[in-house]
Amino acid sequence: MQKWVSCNAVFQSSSDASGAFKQHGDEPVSEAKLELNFHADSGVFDYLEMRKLLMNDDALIVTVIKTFLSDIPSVVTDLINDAGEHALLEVAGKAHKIKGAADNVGGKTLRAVAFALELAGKEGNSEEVDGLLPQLEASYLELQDALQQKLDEMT
Amino acid sequence: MKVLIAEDDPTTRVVLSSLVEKMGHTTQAVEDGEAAWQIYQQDQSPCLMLVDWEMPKLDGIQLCQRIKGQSSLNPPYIILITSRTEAEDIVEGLDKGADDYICKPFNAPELMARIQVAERTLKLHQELFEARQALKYQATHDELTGLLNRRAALDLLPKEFHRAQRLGHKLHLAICDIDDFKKINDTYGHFVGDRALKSVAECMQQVFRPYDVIARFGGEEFLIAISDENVDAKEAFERLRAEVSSLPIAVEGQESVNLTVSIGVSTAKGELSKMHLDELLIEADKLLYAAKEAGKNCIKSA
Repeated sequence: MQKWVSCNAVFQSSSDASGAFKQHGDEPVSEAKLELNFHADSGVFDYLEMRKLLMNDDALIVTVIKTFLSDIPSVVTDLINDAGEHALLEVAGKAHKIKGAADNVGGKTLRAVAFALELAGKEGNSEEVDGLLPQLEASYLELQDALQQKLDEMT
Repeated sequence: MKVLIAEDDPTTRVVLSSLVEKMGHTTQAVEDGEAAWQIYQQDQSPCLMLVDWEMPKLDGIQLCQRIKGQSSLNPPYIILITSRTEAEDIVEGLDKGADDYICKPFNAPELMARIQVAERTLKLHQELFEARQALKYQATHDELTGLLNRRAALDLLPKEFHRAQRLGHKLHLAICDIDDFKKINDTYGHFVGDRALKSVAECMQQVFRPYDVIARFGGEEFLIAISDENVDAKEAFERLRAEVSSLPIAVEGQESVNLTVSIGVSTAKGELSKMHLDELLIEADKLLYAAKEAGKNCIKSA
């Protein structure tokens, strides 16, 4: 059974967001709470947040985007393969890595999905993991497109 | 400052490296804790480490534990960077050896401020380390000649004896005294006396090996302990005597002063005890007096 983590549900109200992550047990939801005031239209790629993180350094922004685009596709692919083999701790590890990388590029939606996957993987909840994979792919592809567009603008 | 970044996510590695380099530091980035551990064990390892908690092979906590488990006089400053934000995680990180902790997604100015705190702390630590080293040097060395002082020499002697014994060598203990030193001081002044002491000390450092024990034992007396490992001890003492006697001390407006030394040498045999060491020193001292009575500028040994 698929349980979609709705970005709107996650980010538009604290109760909805808490509910989305409480499905994974008693794990803390503090990281998700950080994003509660999220504006839905900047969830895929929050460029302003990225600029703030990288101190408005255009060269660094370009480097970080390029690094993300070259590294993360293989991590996403590996994660999907691990999920297929029910290697859930591996899934959790890779989701953790995607979450960290998404933080650096303002990819809030991808971060939220990766975080949910990390928790599900750690809990050994393969059903939950399987349910989140389509969202992972979709949010990654959306972020990839947005980042590529920004990269084209900047270079 | 050299900064090691241990982080398995390439994007975060790039961000961290860039921010640290913006601050004027050099960086070395690795993707797992084991690689960081290998670098830490090399000479001139980084003094600041930015360490991710969750990494392959060896995680950040294990890395902190390994580093803090080593008794280093100059340990690195470790900032743990992680997405674990709960209070118990922070407590665990600090408890296991991290010096500071910053949560992901981190705020760049905050990270840079924390690195500045690390710099300040490391600078203070370095100053403390250098002060301790200087105090240790002052406590063990004679200020005028730079040789070991009496206390340091007496601390070292038992170790030297045991080492010589273990290797099957004899250990020769010599007390060397500058002849007529009081007369030099009284005639030419204490500055010339000090120069005489320094010249004799320099002679000793040229004649003997860096690992031989050479100490200013008091006043114009020096103590030397050498094993006969790869050296003819009697020949070495004779060389010292000859070198000193051929080394005049220049005195402004006057004829240069010729120095000579008398040396008493005892030799350790068998196992050393505290009493045995005292006996050897007494014997060397008696032999020194015998050398003085024999007309000075000579060596008496047993």
